[in-house]
Amino acid sequence: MSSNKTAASAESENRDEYTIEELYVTYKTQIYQFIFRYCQDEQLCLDLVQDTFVKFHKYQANFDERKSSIKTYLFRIAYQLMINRLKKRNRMRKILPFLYVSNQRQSLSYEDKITVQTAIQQLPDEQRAVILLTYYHDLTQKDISEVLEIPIGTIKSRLHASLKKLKVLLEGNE
Amino acid sequence: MSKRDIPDQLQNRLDEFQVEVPEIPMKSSKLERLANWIYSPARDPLEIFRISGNSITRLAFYPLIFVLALFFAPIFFI
Repeated sequence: MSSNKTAASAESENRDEYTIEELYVTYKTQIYQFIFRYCQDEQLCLDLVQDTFVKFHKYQANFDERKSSIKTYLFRIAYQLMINRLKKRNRMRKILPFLYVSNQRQSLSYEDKITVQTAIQQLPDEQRAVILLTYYHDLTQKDISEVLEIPIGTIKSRLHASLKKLKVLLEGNE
Repeated sequence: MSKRDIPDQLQNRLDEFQVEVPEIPMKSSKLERLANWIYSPARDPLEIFRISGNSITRLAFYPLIFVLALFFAPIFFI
């Protein structure tokens, strides 16, 4: 009886692990790309991709597939983790400025990509997330509103503003 | 507004931002993260003294200035 229980438990764990692995293979690239385009820090991206799936595994029971897709749910976790980490880092940067300046400079040193990268970095945080999710990840406005937890009307206005600003920034450099 | 409504010219520029994804292990240890944090590049703390590889005179004089300051500081407390 006891061995049956153990086997069932192990089987259930294996099934969960398999699901997580499958999700990890499917979404790790998209999540990495989203975070990298947002903050342009490779090490932070690596940590956040891992943390996203750890958190998903922990709160998997809270996921309701009737409310949102798995992609939206994972992006929301990743976005929240990233925002929290960036806030924490900004606080640390104020206390210990010499630890962080160099990273920022290095991340902007790719000459062939600097124009579009810099333009995206110059967008306000809330506009940047909207344009990245719309253009690079093909999310609908409803999905984006779930990821960022803001109304659809706000998404529309931010998207409009970000496109306008990007156009000015990129055309100004040509 | 969706991706299709973005002007072609802007789309071409946005497409330039390609991201190469490295191998990401599913789990990472805290020790590994600490090591990555320690080895991540940081600003040179001596930058405020403007000491570079060829400024030997400055490098030689700063300790001297420090010693002199230490030596004369008690005078202000007499």
